[in-house]
Amino acid sequence: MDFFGAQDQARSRTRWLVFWYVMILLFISVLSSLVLMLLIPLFTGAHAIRLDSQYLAGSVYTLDNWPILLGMSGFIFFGAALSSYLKGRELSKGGEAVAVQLGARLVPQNSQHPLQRRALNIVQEMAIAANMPVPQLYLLPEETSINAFAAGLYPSDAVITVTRGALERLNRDQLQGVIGHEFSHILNGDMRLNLRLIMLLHGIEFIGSVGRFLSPGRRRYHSSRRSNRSGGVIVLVGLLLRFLGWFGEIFSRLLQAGISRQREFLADASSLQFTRNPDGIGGALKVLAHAQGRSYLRADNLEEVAHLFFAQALFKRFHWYATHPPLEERLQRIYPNWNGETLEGLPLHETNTHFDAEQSDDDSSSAAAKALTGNPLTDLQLESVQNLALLLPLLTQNGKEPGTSQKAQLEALLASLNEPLDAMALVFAVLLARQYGALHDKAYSAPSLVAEFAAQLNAENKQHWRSIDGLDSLVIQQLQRLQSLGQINRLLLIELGMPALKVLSEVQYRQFAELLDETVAFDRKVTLFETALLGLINHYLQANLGLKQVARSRIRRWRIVQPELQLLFSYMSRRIALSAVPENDYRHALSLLGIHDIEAIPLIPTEQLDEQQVQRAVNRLQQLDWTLKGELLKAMVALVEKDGVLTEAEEELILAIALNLEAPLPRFTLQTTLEQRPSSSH
Amino acid sequence: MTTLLVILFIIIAIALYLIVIYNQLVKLKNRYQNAFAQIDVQMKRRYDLIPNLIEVAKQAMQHERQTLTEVIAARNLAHAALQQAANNPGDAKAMQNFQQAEAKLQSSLSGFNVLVEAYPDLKTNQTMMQLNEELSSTENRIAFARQAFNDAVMFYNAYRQSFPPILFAATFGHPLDATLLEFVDKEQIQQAPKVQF
Repeated sequence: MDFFGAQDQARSRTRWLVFWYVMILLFISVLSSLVLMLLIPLFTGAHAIRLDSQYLAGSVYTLDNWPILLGMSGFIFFGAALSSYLKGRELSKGGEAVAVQLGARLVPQNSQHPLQRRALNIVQEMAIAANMPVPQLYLLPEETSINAFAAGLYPSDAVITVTRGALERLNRDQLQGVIGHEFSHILNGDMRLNLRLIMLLHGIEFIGSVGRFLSPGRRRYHSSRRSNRSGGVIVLVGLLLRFLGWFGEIFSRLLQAGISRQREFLADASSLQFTRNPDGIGGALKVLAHAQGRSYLRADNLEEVAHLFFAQALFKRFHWYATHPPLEERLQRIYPNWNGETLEGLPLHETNTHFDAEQSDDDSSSAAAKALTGNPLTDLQLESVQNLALLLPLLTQNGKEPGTSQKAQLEALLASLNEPLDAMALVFAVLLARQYGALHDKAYSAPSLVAEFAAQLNAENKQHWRSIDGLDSLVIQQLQRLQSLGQINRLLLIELGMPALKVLSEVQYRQFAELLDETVAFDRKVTLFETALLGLINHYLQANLGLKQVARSRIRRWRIVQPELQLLFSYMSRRIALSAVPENDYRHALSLLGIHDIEAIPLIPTEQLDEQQVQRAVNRLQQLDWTLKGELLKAMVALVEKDGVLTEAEEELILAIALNLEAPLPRFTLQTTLEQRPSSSH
Repeated sequence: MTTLLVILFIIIAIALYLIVIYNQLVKLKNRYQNAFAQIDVQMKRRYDLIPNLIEVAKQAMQHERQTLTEVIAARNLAHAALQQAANNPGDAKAMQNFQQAEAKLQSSLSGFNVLVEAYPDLKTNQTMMQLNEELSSTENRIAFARQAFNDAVMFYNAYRQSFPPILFAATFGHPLDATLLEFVDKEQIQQAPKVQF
């Protein structure tokens, strides 16, 4: 699946959408102001108001009144635009805002509820497949229908939300298909498209609400004070405005529905690619098709966000209004030979294995568990075994099968990543172990390493360190686990720990960030991997806390970022690729980006390279356009692979930088590049 | 005409701003409620550990039945209070009940620990040590989660009391400050049993 291509398409659709948005808005604001001008006589004098054409042409719609027309149109246009803008600003604070508005609750990462545990694990697996830090999971506890959505603008502030019905009525494969579908929306760049759609609808609704403001119900007690003649006109004007608002809504909903339906097919297709199991998404769609209408939500204020969902969230009488293609059509694309037969024969209890949703027990962990097999412990254990089986091959690089004790360690490590405090300890442990490994050849003793580190902290950080009860013993524990596991994908561990870290409060995050700054300097030297890791954590946690406005991608030409490219590629060819002739690598990589004039940006000598500068360059490159990010990543892979070998360190660094750029680099694309080169066995 | 337009525009801008305030209040409230979920998870784990602890001790401490039942009773009480607090985090009454129940449990637990000192076999029992270890690491996690919750509550209260949100908070359904969760100091609790005995 070409995610960059899909994003490109999303962007061109966004432009098209903005164009239509402006058109619709202009059209409607001019029409509305023509309607509003009927009120002019009220302000100019006490003529009786007549609605015959001669009078209107003579004293209302005259050339002299054009400033009024212009002013009113402008007023309505900008009012709608302002309302759109404010909505957009609110939503660009992250997916959390959307989830909260619909009444969703955060599912604690360390939840012991078996069904929640399963959903959390699936989100983990899909995030790892998509190679992005795990997003947080929200639950709509009141909705018993089967649905889900992804919201947020960037991977860093994305959240996945599922309804309680989806949790309880779908089996593991089906839920995986649904969540895979939502991840595809993130990778396909649909979130920004969705934001534009929501903003558009909000702006149009503004005109409708002006109409509501002026229309009968609300104005009655006001207009009674005025004489009857003007009251009638105001009501008429209000009704006309309402009509116009409604008219605009129809247009914008058609626009919304048309765009949304196309993206659904795309997301279904990519979900297949993530899960490699047509029965996942296909099964979920079958369950929905079998129980018609099971995807409709009860919450109000859904109109604006209906297109975010997995399946139709609102009932629509006319199919061109529907935000999602008909289920039959979606199923047809997944199973080309499907003719609807299997669906008819499918008894309800077979598709809906956990049809036990109506109980509203608050302490439902035990109740829901009993609904499964009657034994909560085995379900939980089974779930964790399944999760482990999927994550294990990814975590242990170089394919050596771990022993039983190692597996137990790994399981404990994975479980601990769901605890905020333990996840924090793991980040320290990863950084400390790496630096110790670079300094000394021998194995470390965890307690003395932590003691040495704690002694080295500055006064303020020492206080932070001590103020967190039990942190040092947890860091020791995590260091020991890492040691016993040997080769392990550390970046992946950080990605898995991200949702637990997002629970930190702002104060806790600041302490954490300060401690981290000192941790990477433990060995008195800072590598690009370390700064990339730090940049990643800071970027994601800041976006989550709403501390930083996420930079928008705007740079569309390489020329603007030439100094940054010079730094990054110099660093990569000098320090990472380590070939005999770094100049050649450097030139080749730049030529892939279409930059042939190497004279202007020569390769920087090793001694002048500074990791922090390189990291700043990477930060600036975050603002690159999506397609350019794709080209940049390809050029980086080409650069380090020039010698035919993609070492672990190289891969790790590229992945870390890709994460920093928030660019989609799904794990399987990287793995296929590896698989295509059998010579690269290292 | 122009003045009318300007006035209308200002009214609309104010209305939109009110929506922003409303949404911010909802969001911050949701933040601290979600933060309480962390406390809830950890507390439940702790409450699940305590009966196991008592079960192990039961064999050796035949004569201390009363203390053991006291601990279990306090644990059940605290569990119920937690449920209440989780349904309505930040609510002054629920939080106070929870804090009191928790303090009682703490003091009966330390009474229990003092008793355990008298049974050297029990003290060195492998399961007992493991459970104690898990209990103390859970307590660390609770402390961490509690800090996050209190930070979120203070953030919400500060926003609610700031100007202009303070003017509209009550109308928007946020009439009261959320209550912080404070547990009695550990050392204080550990001293409390000495007075009792």
